[in-house]
Amino acid sequence: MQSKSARLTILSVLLFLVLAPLTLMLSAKYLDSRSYYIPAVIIILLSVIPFFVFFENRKIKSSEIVIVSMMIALAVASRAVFAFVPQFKPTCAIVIVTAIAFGPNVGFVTGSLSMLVSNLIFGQGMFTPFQMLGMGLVGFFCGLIFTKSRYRTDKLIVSITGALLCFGVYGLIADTCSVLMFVTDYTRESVMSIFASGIPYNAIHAVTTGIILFFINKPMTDKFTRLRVKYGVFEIEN
Amino acid sequence: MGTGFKGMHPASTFVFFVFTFVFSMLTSHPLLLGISFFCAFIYDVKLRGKRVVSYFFTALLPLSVLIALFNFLFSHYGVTVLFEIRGIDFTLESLIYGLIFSVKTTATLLWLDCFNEIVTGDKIIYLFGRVSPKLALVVSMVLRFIPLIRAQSEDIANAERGIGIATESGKLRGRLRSTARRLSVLVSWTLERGIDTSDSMSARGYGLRGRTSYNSYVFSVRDAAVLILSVFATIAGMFVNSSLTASYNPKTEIDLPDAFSLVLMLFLAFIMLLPIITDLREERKWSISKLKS
Repeated sequence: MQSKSARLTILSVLLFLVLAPLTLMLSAKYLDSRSYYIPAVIIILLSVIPFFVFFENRKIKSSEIVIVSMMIALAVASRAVFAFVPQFKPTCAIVIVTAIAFGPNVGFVTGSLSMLVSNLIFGQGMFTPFQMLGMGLVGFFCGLIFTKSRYRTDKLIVSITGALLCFGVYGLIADTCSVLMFVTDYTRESVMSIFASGIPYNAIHAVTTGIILFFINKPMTDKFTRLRVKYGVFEIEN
Repeated sequence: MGTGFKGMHPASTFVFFVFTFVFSMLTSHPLLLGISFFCAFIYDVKLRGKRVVSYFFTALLPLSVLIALFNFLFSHYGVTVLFEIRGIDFTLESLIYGLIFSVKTTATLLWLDCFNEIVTGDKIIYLFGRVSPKLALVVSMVLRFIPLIRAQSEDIANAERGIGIATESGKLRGRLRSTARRLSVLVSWTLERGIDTSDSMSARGYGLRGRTSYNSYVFSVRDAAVLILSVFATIAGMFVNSSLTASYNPKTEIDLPDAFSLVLMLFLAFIMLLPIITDLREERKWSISKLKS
């Protein structure tokens, strides 16, 4: 079972390594209409597949599947709890906390599915694939950095790293979609002006994520520890 | 389930919308874009009625103007200079291409609006579930838990009000503190509830071998026809797109369609009108059968 999962994951990575450059080459050759949105989405889908294949084939307890679903639901629903301050979106913070508890792979799945589900409810947009990749990568990196690190309970380090990842990774990838939607002539100034116009929004998002992380990291870790002691779920693995 | 196009098999409707997205995003020919925009608009109006008109005027039109304006200000390709400010040429070509690009985006967004109406969450889960049962399980559980969490959050707030510790007005600091406490309670409750759910799942035999899943969609001849026609339409769309050039750089050159591409265009228009034809036919049948009884 384990070897089959490994084989499938390697296969999907190889698929990405072959098809993504092929997509680039073909679109550079045949697409003179200067709309790179579709090749971008194809490459995003290809890059997301290995994570999902790995998640699908790994051994995971039913209790852990349920807890992951619960955390995704919480990430989406928590927007409503903080509705009185519109800039406060705890989604990213909850994804990060889950990623720290569960590791990089589950972190990616939590991040990208919380974006997918949030768009399932509020309506899919052209941003959906970009948000899925961006939030997934934030979860992935947080899991990679903190799951096995002794800094995972350090409030300040976690919240600063979370804010930086939210700004740099999620913001950048989400804004790439705006670039693809707005720009038809890819010069440095036109691309940069779109990215620059996204900075204030991304900065607010990153700072609020950092603040929320600062306050929820410790209590959430405690709650997860309690679950581990009481029910035996949340054994950290890769 | 729904009737008409909405009642069709998720795979067929999904492929149909993939065709419309790919076609609208790839083509730059004004005629082809016009067809796509027109079909998307009337189908969206059929689906959502007057709301589409307000969506068009409050969201899509401003966005289009923004895109066209941005393109006009930042792109300076083309040979026809309209005016010049401080040595920077503002060209007709960039204006035209900006407009074309905004029509393209608008058409895609209108199709997306139809997509959200037709391919609902349960259908996406069904399509996912064929490939990846575990992910589909996660997504469907999430969709069930969200209303549960909202209801519980409301319960917690009511309990807090009852014992007089809810802070819902006054300083931001107090309100934030109150919300943080509510979130904390909510998380504990959510995690416990998750354990209950998973115990219940194991008790009912989740993860045992040989279990099948329930499937409520039937793939009929009609669904197969829509699926195959959509695939053909994608190919035809790519063919028309490559044979009819519409170039805006360095100068605007737009090919007029010859007989063959005109036929292909009619075919594409027919495919894009297929949903509305299906719906109207079904409505007509329904009203006739009502008259008979």
